[in-house]
Amino acid sequence: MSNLPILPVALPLASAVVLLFLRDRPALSRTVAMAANLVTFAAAAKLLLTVRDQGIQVLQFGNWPAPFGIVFTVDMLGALMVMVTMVVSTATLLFACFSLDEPRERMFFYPLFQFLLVGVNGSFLTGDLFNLFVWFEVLLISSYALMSLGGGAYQLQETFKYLVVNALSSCLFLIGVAIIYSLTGTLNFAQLSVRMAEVPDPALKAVVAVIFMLVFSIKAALFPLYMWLPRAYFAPPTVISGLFGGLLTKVGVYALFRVVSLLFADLPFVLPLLVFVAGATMFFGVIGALSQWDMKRVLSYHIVSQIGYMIMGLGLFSQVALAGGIFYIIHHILVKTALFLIAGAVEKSRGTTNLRRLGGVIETEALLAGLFMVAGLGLAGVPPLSGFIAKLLLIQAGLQQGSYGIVAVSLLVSFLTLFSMMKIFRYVFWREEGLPRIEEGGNRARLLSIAVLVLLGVAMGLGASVVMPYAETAAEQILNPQLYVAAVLGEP
Amino acid sequence: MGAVLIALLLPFAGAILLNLFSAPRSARAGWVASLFAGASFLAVASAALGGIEQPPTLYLPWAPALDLSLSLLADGLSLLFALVISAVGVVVFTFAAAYLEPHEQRRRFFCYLLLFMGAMLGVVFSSNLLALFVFWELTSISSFLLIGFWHHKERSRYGALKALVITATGGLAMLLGFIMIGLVCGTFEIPELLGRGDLLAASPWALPAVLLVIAGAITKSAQFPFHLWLPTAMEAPTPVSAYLHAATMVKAGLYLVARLGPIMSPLPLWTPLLTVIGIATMVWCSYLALRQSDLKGLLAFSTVSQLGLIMSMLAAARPEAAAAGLFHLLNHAAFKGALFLLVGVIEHEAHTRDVCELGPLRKQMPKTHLLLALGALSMAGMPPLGGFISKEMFLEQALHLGPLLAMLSVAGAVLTAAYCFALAFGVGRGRKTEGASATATSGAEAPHDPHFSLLWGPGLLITVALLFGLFPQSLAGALVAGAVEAAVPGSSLHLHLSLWHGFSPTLAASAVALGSGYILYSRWWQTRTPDNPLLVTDRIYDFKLEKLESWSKAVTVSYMSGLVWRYNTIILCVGVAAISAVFLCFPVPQLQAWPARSPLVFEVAVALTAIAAVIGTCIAKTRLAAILSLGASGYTLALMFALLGAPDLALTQIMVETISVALFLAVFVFLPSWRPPETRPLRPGHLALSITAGCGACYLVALARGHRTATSIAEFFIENSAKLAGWHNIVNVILVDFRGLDTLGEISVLGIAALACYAAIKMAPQRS
Repeated sequence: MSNLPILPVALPLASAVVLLFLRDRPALSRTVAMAANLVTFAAAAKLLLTVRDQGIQVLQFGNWPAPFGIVFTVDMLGALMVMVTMVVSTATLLFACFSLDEPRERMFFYPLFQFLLVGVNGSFLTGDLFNLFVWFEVLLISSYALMSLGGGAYQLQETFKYLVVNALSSCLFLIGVAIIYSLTGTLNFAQLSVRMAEVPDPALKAVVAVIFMLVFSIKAALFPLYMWLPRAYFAPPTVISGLFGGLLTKVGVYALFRVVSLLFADLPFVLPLLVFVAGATMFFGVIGALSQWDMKRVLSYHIVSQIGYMIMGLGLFSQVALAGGIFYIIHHILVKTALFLIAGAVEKSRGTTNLRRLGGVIETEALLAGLFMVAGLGLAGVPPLSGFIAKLLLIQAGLQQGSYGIVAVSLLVSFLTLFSMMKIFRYVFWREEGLPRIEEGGNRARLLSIAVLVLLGVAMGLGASVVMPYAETAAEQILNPQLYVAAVLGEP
Repeated sequence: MGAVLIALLLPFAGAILLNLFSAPRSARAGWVASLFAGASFLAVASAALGGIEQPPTLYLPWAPALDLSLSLLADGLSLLFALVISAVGVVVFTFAAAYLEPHEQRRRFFCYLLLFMGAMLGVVFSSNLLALFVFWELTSISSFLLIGFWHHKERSRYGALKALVITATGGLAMLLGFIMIGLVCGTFEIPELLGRGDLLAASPWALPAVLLVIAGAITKSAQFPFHLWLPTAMEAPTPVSAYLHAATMVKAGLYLVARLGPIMSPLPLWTPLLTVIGIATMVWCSYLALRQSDLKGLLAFSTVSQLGLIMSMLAAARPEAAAAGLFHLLNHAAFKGALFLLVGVIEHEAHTRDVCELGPLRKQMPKTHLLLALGALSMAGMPPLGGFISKEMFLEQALHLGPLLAMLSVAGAVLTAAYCFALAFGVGRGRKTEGASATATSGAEAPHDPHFSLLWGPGLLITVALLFGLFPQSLAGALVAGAVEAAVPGSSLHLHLSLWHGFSPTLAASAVALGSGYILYSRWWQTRTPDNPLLVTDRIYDFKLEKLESWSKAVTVSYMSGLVWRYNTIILCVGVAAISAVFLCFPVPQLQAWPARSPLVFEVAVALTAIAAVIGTCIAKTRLAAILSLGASGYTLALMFALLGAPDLALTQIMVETISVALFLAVFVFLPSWRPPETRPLRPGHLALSITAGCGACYLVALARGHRTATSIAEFFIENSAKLAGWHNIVNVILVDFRGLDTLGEISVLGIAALACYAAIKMAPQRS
């Protein structure tokens, strides 16, 4: 048992504490935050490789044996999520270093950023239900702080709504934990998996399933529970929206993958319900995006819509579908963050993200336009980019299982997504020059951070054969929860 | 196969290099791009001259898990299309290099154009259906970028979007069809699919797959009823129209039909549907072409109509018909590419493309006019041009299609001849508005023939069109025969292309078509003003697009209230509904009694006090009352903990309550005065929902409590707290040892909360 799994949590936590004391030295803060991120990045990479080579990793805290103490259980899905988290957070951090105003930097942006990573990584790594709740709280409280940071009335107002909704969902989460603990007398995921299968009463099992699906659907922004998201993600500075848009809802998606596969997959209604919800989420999300006239708002609605595809993978619950869903999550985190950062770059250079007031950006910022085009097409699933591979898997799985409805919806939504991306392209980058450029130079690092994400998205598409084995292993582990159980509790 | 791979990679390499090393408006960009296009053409030509290799495929894995490979296929069909693409490409690239104004973004333009060329070669060389789709979509995207190249013009953006919407929709349909074929047959490799057509025929997905693939083909090739996008795509710079929307991209649909013909033509509907669509498009769009006043509009409809003709031939999957279609495709690429470029020249010189505004071309631009007339006559099917031969072959095959379709085909040929005469002679005469044109050009220099750099390209294409007529067999015979072999495998066609077939019904039909066409032109077209009719399909498209925007707005506004109480209402409603549904669907479990003891009186009293305090908080008239009432509920809870034997919890609770009440009171000083709204509506629905949700949660916890199936992990803590952790207070040991990580997290939460408060207060925006 190595201590490797704790590093993606411990390193950001330590750096956050250090950064607290560097408040008055923004330049040093940037360096320290970046260095910490890079070290965590390396740890995440090592963890991923370890999981690939040696299978599921388990770390028992305080050496208390598995079902009693807290464990971190790192399977391929968790390791992948941590890895991609570190990729986008490093890019976002780079962007933040070159776009954030100094008052915000001085007001603990960097420590809060690291605390957020603590929460996100902790959620991906933990193998304990209550511990998951704790990491959720860490990431939520950091997100409240980041979202309201230095805000005007609108930002504070939307943060308040976000806070209230999440407080309600945390409350439901706790009720869920209480019920499941009452039923099974344990909190360890592996043991929960074993004991939930033994619960004789289908109604109680279904109740638990419903509560947890409700909780994580709120976090993941699924139909009809996503209405908190578009405004909340519009309010803060774009770099924060970008990080949230890429990462936060995906923690909810991850949790759904985890609890559904370990605890509830044998309930007859769970998977069809997820497929239905996935379709509705895709559809209404994209419809929302079409109704908007602001780049950030359009992108926020697309987050919702795209979550539908991930849940489609979970709902279809076959090897191909799960691999597709996981591929989709990774692709989405990269591409969506890139798109938000592009919106941020446009906002920096033109002072707005309003589609009606922008125009002609391609004439002065051709590279940005190119990056948007590639990222936008990637989001829409145009080949040979990453989104295409993910959608191809999902559609194949859907057809194989005869779920024609969701296949049709997913294709329709793909088309509408393309339409919506082209709407942004037409209004922001094409047309006569809109608002003039208010900022010259100084954006190379910003372009670099965007370019890295976009290129990774492209590489994921072209190099699908490199990423696919990871997604397939993750899917295999999800389909066979006994692997997870055996890794934690030992062979039965 | 190496040559093919090089031909495919060169345009992409060119696009990348151009982007890296060229200035945005560099005049050299065009010539560099032309070099890459030319090299690509040479590679294709050398592959074609080297004959077809056996096996004609090269396997390059991409994502083997998905059966996705970039394998290449270079048989006769691919090579024929690739030759057209790269040859016309070279002409268009050099033409465009001279055509674009110095101030335009040439680097971008040629980058898009190279991207398109590479994608198009990819389409015809792909041996994997999915890879074909990849390149197919790339052509749509690059077409979007090229149509909208002059993006400051509203019509350009409109045209670009329309082309993308229609071709991308078709593309997605086609993808679905491909996946169906792949899943049924177990492979996406086209050569392997050829032997597995019977699997597809036996599958229930046969019909959907046919329809979906047809949807892809006819949207790309702008066939009826999807012909609407091509005319508006004419907003593109003319070289783009010549290349994408006449010579190559719109032929991707035809390629698909020819390529999949061997697999799909035995399936129901494939041949009849495509034939009917082709002939209908041919007739209807040649009629529409006659009514255009814009030269590019005329050429656009004529392109659609000619594509319909070829489509109907390729759909038949008979070797003779395929030969007719493919040879006509060659001819069409030559004369239509030239015609578009010539219209570009005319626009370049005369600054208009309107038939009614143009002056007497024959006097002003004699060379241009001569080439234009030759191109148009080839399209009309006038001997000895190439168009004559392929039109003859078409008419001969059309006579097999049954009386109705045969008559329609002849009618289409008549209409085609009519607009070709209009193009050849009508424009040149500056028909009726010479006065207007004189005023239009009086200020500027009169139009004249352009520099050689703009004329040699179209001249070359027209020469080819002429040579196709004079030496068809030696120039195109082997090429067409090779392609037919691939399109209709196993056929034994002894193709002999020649100008003179002897006297036959076909010749009579040709003569009738040309004669009637001329009469139609001179009697009808010359006496009326073209009116550019608005298409019904156009109106539907515009209407749908508007609807989509307004409808999505209406739907979204209807539920996105931005009100937080609505959010919570939705969440709780969903929760209550879902739990209720569970209890309706599954047998409700028995609520088990607690460990045998009924609640004591003062326990009930404490509970009731807590409830009363909560109600008090909700109905309090002042802040102070609300806070105190909230505090009271907290303290009663602490009392409850104490009564139930959890003194630690009780102490913690008391501390939390005391601090929060104290803090609230301290903050009051800084808050503006507050009074609840005068008419505070107590919403019964909300009340009911809250009570249901609260009681429901209580009930569920109680229910679960009695159904434990296994021993709790708490037993371990009780047993080992002192023994292994060295402390008797189990709660403390759990907090700091057994589950210390949770505590670390919670402490962090508190710390972050403090930071957040500090930041929120310190950075509060100044009130203006």
